[in-house]
Amino acid sequence: MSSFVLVAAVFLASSVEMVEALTIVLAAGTRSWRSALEGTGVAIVVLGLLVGIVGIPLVKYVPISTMRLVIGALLLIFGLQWLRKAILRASGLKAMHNEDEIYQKEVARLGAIPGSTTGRDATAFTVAFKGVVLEGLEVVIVVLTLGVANHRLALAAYAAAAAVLIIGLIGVVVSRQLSKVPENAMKMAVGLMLVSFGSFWSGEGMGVHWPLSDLSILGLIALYGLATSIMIKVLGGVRPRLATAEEAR
Amino acid sequence: MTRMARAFAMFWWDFLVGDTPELTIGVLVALGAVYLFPKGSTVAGTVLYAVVVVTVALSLTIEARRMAKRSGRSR
Repeated sequence: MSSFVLVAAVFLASSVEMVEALTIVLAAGTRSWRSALEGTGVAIVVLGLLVGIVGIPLVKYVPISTMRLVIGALLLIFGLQWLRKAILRASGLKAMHNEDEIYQKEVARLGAIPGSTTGRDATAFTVAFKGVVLEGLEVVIVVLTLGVANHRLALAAYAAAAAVLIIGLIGVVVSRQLSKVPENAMKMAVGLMLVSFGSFWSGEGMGVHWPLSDLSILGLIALYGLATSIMIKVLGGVRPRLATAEEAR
Repeated sequence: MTRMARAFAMFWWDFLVGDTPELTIGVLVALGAVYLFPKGSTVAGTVLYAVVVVTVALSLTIEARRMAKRSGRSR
């Protein structure tokens, strides 16, 4: 059961980050597709190596209870940051992530930099490489934490790779940034899963008895989901008051 | 070397604390509260959940207040 939630969490987190990376790669591609794709490829190899170099020794040499406590705490902090942002966006207090706008800005910025428009282009390579590495680092952290704590590093890595492939293919087929992807809903789902896994593993690491064992993760997702929907409702009520104050200026 | 170490430390600081230190503090408080319970306790799990929920609610309240202050100041 926890394998399914693990795959879902890694897949969704990787998809969200991949959509953001894709926007940057597509913008870099307007200068040179070849260089943008080369930059993307090198970045993916670097991220994969990072998972192997850091993850395999962690799985092999660090005691599982210590690992679960530390990783659980990391997941809790990381998941809460995602969840908080998603709640603020869902309640309308924070603007939604606009991939179209980011793409236009990036294309305009890159267009102002002189350089080759055909063949190899150092700017396109660097922008694509940096974009994929920076967005991918969060994926690496999710893969490492969830994969190591579950002792299923390979499964987590495969789930991330599948997301990269699927989102990449969709991007290639539609050849534009994926602004229609419900990014905030996905971010919220990932936040809920990370917080639930984080609570479960940190609790396990400190000797908490979870009545339903692994199934408790589903219970935690449901309970955190309930609290989240209440918070969105409450904050949704705060928004008109803030808007009125804004309009009165 | 020093620059690299500094960048590495900054990455983790941004990642773990960033502009929401209350979340990190809340998680540490939650884990501290669980530590007070004996091993094998079921109540500790409930306490962990409750502290985490309060932490998010607190963080959202701080952000809403910050926004209200900002909009009040610009009036």
